[in-house]
Amino acid sequence: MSVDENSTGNEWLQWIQAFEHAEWGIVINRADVTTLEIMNAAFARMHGCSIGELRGQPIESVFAPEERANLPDWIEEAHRKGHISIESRHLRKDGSVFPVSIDVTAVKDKQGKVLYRVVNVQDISQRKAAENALRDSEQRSAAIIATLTEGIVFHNADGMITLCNAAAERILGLSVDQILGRTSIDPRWRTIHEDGSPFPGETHPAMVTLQTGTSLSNVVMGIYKPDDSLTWISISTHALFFSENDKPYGVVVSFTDITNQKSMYELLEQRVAVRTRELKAILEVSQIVSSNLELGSLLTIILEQLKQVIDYTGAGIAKLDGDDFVIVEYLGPISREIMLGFRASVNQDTGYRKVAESKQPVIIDDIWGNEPWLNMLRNITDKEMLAKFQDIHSWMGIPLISHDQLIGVLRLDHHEPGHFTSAHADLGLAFANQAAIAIENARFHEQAQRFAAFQERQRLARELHDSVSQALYGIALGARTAQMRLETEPEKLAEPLDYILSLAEAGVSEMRALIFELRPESLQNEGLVAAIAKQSDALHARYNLQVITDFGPEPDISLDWKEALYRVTQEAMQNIARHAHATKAEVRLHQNDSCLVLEIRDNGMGFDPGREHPGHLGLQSMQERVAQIGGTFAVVSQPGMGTTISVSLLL
Amino acid sequence: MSICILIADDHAVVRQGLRMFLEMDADFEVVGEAENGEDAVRLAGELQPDIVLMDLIMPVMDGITATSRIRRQYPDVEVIALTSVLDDGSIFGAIRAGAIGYLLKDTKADNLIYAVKSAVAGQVQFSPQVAKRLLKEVDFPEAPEPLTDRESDILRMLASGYSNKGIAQDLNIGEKTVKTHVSSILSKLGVTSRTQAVIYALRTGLVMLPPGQS
Repeated sequence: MSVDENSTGNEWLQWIQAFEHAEWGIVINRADVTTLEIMNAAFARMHGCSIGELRGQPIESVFAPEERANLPDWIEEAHRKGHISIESRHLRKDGSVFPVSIDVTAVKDKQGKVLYRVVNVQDISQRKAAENALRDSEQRSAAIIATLTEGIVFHNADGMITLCNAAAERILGLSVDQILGRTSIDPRWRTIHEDGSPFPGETHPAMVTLQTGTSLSNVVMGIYKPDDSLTWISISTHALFFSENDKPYGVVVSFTDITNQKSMYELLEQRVAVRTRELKAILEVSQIVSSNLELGSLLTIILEQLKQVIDYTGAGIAKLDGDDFVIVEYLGPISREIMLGFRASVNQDTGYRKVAESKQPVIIDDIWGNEPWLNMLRNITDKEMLAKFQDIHSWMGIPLISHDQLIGVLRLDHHEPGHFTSAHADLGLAFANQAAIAIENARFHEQAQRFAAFQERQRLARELHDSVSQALYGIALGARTAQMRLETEPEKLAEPLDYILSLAEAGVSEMRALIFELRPESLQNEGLVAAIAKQSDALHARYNLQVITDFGPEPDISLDWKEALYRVTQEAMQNIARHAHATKAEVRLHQNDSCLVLEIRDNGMGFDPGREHPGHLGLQSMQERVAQIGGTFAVVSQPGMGTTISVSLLL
Repeated sequence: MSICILIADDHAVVRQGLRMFLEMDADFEVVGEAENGEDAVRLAGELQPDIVLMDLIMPVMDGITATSRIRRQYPDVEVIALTSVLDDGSIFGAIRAGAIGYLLKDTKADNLIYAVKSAVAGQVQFSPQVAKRLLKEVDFPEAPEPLTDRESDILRMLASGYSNKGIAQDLNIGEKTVKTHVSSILSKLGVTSRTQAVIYALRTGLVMLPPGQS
């Protein structure tokens, strides 16, 4: 800078004002003076001093001690070049140091001799701090990105990758050089969807986000690495904007490697599927068990279902019969004929015995093994038979337990040694429980049937007692009376003879009714109307009741319904005979368009249906029968007013 | 004096036949008919018959329960069980309940007249086979009050098939006295019928079953 000697006084004043009020420090020194000469207030303030305190101090005193050595060089350079800008550090009065930006201009005369220097000094503490903070932040961000396990790439507006981290390299199996510069539509990407279909580059999340500006998250993509191994990643994207209305200038893509999670999830799904299949099989079995009582087919179904969930070669169910286990059902390569009836004594050293003793599943890795108690088959002397078992190695016996009692064993075999596991045993137990229930149900059913047959016999015996045997006794009494009258008063023979005749007739109709009952096909062959008519005759004959009958044509209903209606009639008539003290009964069976009505009425003593009364068991069984065929049962009675029982069936 | 009979049977035809048959004998008068056990107990009290012919299987109250009530409430009324099924359970039940005898509803109608007359005469009658089985069936007190010599004699005679009248003649005492002794025997043994007393006599060896029949 040169001093313009023509500057006006006004102009000079303006310079002075600028000098005085400048927010930065200004120092003006003659070129050969080494102490501070002219300075403004801002300069003194920034050093924590007044102008007076600084004036006359060596120039170097405002510099931080470590900077002072540079001072002669800077001055020399400023004089030589005329202008320099440097950064340095100054010292405050309190000893603290602060960064400064210094701008030195040497003012020379026309000959080029330096007259004085104008020095602008700016405190750049704040700028420095901001610069440091930014640098720190950038370094931190870079460190974070570098150490993230998530892969990060940055696509610019053209879709090109301009940045990637180490994790991205690792996950993608590519080096940074291979990654940078690639776009999503680069044909080297081999990407697929979860279902295995191709995942075209233009639909990659980065492209979608670039085009729409919308962030995406957790998009799953399969990527084939250069070594052809498949990596699954979950991708999230975030669009970057300069301003809201612009298109994004880039997109940050982060992704994690979910290959492991995915395979674990698939494993889990597989396990769930297996478990579901197992549960389904058990459920099916339990439904079948509860709806079917034919033991043989039930056990077959159980073994078939078991095959769905446990891989076995042969499976059998052995029932405990005294001291023996007897195979009652078998599914496998050996013929059923050979297996069924196969016995193993509880006292022999076999797997069965182990099961019986422990009441726990027993797994034998190889029945031909060396353990002394493994005499499963050694006792079989029949060579042909033995040959059949030659291929069996693994054996598993599972107890069938009912009410804490062992009732049998579910036994499975497999041709591979060491095939069965404790998981198989657990699963087998569930099936064994069902088999135990099936066996117990069948036993109860048999008992119930036997009991029902016994009850039926009892009832017939009672009927015979009530009817025919009484009639025969009466006939004997009447005949003896007649015999004696013949000797003493022959004119009075008519009474016993009439009596005998009426009894004989009654006996015949009773017998008919009873025989009808003994032949179950009668109801089918002769019909409901005929059956009820016979009952009505018997009621009349036996109890000397007036019985009025009123029947329509034979109704067109199933045999089950006929049977139920017949039994209800029978029960109602028994109640009339035993409890009603009636003299008259009416039995009606009528059908209109949609309804069949059976009504049995008596003029007996009646009862209060709301209280305990004799015959209530009979009423209950009538009600149950009617409910079973879906009919409506009604009983109307009150003491002294007779009883009416009616059944209506919607057709 | 005729023998008053109450018929208890739920079958009207049987009651009708029994009445017809029994009334042919001038000694018998059927004073009432009951169609169940409850009626039988009530009518036994009202009519005080000499004997009740009791069917065992009846509605409302069965014949065994009715027999037991009648024998406790009206000890002078004898009961003959009339059954169509000869099963041990009902025979033992009837004897235990205090019936003096039992009859099968069979064709031997004449037996009925004989049985009724024997029962009214205080005569115990049943077959040795049944007697043998009954020995085990009837309960007695562990240590009954001891019988007097006279009571033992009378029990022995009862067991041998004597009637009240026969005992009275043999012992030269009145029939009423015999009945009094019998009542005493029954109460000492804790039983309600002569039949039970006779079983006691057989069991304790007071009398032996007739030889060849044991």
